[in-house]
Amino acid sequence: MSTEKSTLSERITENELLPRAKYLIVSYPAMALGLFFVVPLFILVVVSTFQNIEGGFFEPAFTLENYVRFFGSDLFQGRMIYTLQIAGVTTILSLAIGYPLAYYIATLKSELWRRVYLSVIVSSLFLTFIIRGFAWQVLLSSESVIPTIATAMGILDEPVALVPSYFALVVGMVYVFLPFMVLTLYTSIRDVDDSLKEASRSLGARPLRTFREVTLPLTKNGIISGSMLVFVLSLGVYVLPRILGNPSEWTLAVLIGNQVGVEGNIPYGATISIVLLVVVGIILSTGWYLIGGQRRASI
Amino acid sequence: MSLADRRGLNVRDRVTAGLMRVFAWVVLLFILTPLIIISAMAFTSGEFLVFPPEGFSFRWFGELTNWVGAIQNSILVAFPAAIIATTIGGTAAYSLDRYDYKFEKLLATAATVPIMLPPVIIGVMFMAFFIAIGNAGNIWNLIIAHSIFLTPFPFILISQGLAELDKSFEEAARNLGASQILTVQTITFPLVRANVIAGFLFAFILSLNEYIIAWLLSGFSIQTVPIQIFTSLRYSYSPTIAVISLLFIIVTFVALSVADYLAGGIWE
Repeated sequence: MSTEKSTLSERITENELLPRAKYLIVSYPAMALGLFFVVPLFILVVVSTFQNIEGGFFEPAFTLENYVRFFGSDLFQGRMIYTLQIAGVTTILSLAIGYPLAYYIATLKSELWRRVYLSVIVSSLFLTFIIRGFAWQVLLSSESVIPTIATAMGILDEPVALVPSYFALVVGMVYVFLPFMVLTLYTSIRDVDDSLKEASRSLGARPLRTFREVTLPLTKNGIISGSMLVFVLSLGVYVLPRILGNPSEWTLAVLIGNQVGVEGNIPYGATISIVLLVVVGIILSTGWYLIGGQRRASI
Repeated sequence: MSLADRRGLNVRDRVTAGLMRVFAWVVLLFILTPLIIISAMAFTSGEFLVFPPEGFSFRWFGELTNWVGAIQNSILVAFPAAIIATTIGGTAAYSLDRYDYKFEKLLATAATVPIMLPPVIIGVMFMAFFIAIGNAGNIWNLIIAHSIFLTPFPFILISQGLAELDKSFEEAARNLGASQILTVQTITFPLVRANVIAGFLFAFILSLNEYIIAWLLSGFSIQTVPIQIFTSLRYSYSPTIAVISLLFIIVTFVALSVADYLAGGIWE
């Protein structure tokens, strides 16, 4: 693969009409991403050391005051831990539900059904969190279906609103992040060579044992990248805690949004962003290290 | 499944397989129910959003007139943002596929990472950036932010397309004397067209649906559909929200089916 590529690019460079095409082509994405991603990221770091001025502006200060405030505050520390915790719960539940589903779809014989399942999952993936969160808000409200059924089944004494609550938030989060898990696992399960399963079966292993000793170890990378993806995306969730949770269920992202959008304190919002960014960075690099760096986590 | 296989399965294995099927259907139901219920509520004749709906009518569809401005703004942002994202992602994918650079890894990371970052951070980042350069509260700020945030989709899809491409077609064109530009126009682009369009559609749909970046960068002056939905959720539970949601569900589903079809089953 790589030799083929290099011979081609050699050949192309040989009879090149645009000798500088190599740098000409790349200059556009490099400049766009440099100017509008790397530079803003750098400015975010710098602004996190600035001082806030009333009215949503800031002035250079180069202090670590904002960081001292963050790490000295029980409120923000608590929110940080809470955010990690809810992301962890979401990841575990998504994996527990997502793996069997992905396995089922991946081993379906009919291509048509595989595509039907995948289309449903992919389509729901792209629908705004607001609409999906809103759907759960309606479903869990007091006069609605779920509390009524739960009452009939004796789980609830009377139909009460299950939203806003921690429960509603977890349901909503699993609901929006499950598709990411299923799709990542699906790709990984599809990649498992069927002949290995055949071999295991013909040596007398039953399906469950084949699964445990062949499929599961071979899909380890899928499990890691799926979990990592869901965990990282859950850490940044803003809309769902606002729609499905009480203020006690607000995540760090909500605090960032409030600092910047409501309080107008951009430097402090930038500081919390940097802290969250570092956490995301650590998780992403750990994940890439674990899967051996050969596969970039893709969506 | 061969006869030998079938004989090898005992009752316990069949029960496992049956349970898996039931489980898959339950989860699928879990995914679909909220969307179906929202859609059903769009046709209520009652005043409030409750399920089951109180009768059938199209009366709330008339209220869509209040949403025309937001729909226009959403498209005005999503269309250019998706085009810019596709050009950045496409040229990045093409150059990384064809040439070796010293900064290869950096470029690939910059083109992949934005979608993994919490959107709220992207929002704060661009807010700080545009205030620092003294250009806040402009619709182009939002377009640029969305372009960068969504570049990973066209980048990943077009990279995949280029990697799977049979390079001998291009070589043939080059050997016959076609310039690089002519080769891209007549060979490379037509062969990865599906990936390009799919990348564009993904970016377009995600931009239409994005809330927090849009809210932070709109400077409270540009109302997109998600912003208007979120705002109206705070005050009332008008069935209009269900109508606009239904519209969004349909647009999203159609655009994605097209994208998926064009890319030949993206997750296959």
